[in-house]
Amino acid sequence: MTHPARRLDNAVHQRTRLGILTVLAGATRVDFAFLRDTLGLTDGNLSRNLSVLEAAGYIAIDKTFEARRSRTWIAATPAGRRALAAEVTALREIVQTVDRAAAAGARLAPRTGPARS
Amino acid sequence: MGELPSSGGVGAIRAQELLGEVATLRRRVRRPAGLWPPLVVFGAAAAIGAPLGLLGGLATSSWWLAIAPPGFALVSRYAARQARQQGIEGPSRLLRTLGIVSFAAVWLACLALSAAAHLPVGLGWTLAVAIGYLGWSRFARNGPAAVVAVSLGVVGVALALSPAPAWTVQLGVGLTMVTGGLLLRCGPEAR
Repeated sequence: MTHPARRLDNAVHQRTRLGILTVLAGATRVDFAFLRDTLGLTDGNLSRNLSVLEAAGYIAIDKTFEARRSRTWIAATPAGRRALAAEVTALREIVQTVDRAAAAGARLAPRTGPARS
Repeated sequence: MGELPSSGGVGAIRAQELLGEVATLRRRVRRPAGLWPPLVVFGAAAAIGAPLGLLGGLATSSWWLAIAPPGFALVSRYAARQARQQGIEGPSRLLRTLGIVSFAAVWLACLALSAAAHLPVGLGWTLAVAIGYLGWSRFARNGPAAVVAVSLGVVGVALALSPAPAWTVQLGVGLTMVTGGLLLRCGPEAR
């Protein structure tokens, strides 16, 4: 079995992009401004990360005109939702792997006390 | 960031941090905007329709059958408009369907229960509304809404078990719903 760290997806495994997919997964679609304000990003930073996710097929971007002003709606694709779920699973497994190793180390610790002189 | 977490403790700490951020964002996004409108709309419907209880159960049932569809339409329309303004659209059709189905289920269950178990009039639906709203406030992680839900339950049970006429239960709970809804509307967590 591969270590869970090997299953992390480069497109998703980045704090901002993980945040974007998390917000999108909780809604049908989200406005660019809402996403920017929720994640505390600049327009340029958000745009760059959206481009990466769009190129990976994880989000769909829809530009519309509402009340004579442009509005950008972003939605997670089914592939994006699956990628987020896989990422979260892999992160949990990483934590569990280290927790198990630490617990095993703690069980062994009393046997390896300081040598008597 | 951008690197894969290593298999050591540092990687696990990083992973833990990311999981914490994911959980925080999920909580922030899942806060529904429309916690107060259903209270005001259906509370007003209950209070206005309460005197119909003097005419019997059929009049009350007819009132709810007539008022429920426009009530749900009004609430869902408001929620959709708010969501659009805020820039986050949820599964509104799913929630609307869930609301209508649960309303119908509770209504039928209360009719059946009160007929079979001779429960005090109004006790069943009052508890159903209070428990349902408590669940919703828990989902939304909204403390003031949970307080309103518990108040609804207390007022409804107290009125249902009191010797007051049956129609006063609907009036009392309706007015409590409207008051609670307006308090939530003006409260700090209103969005």
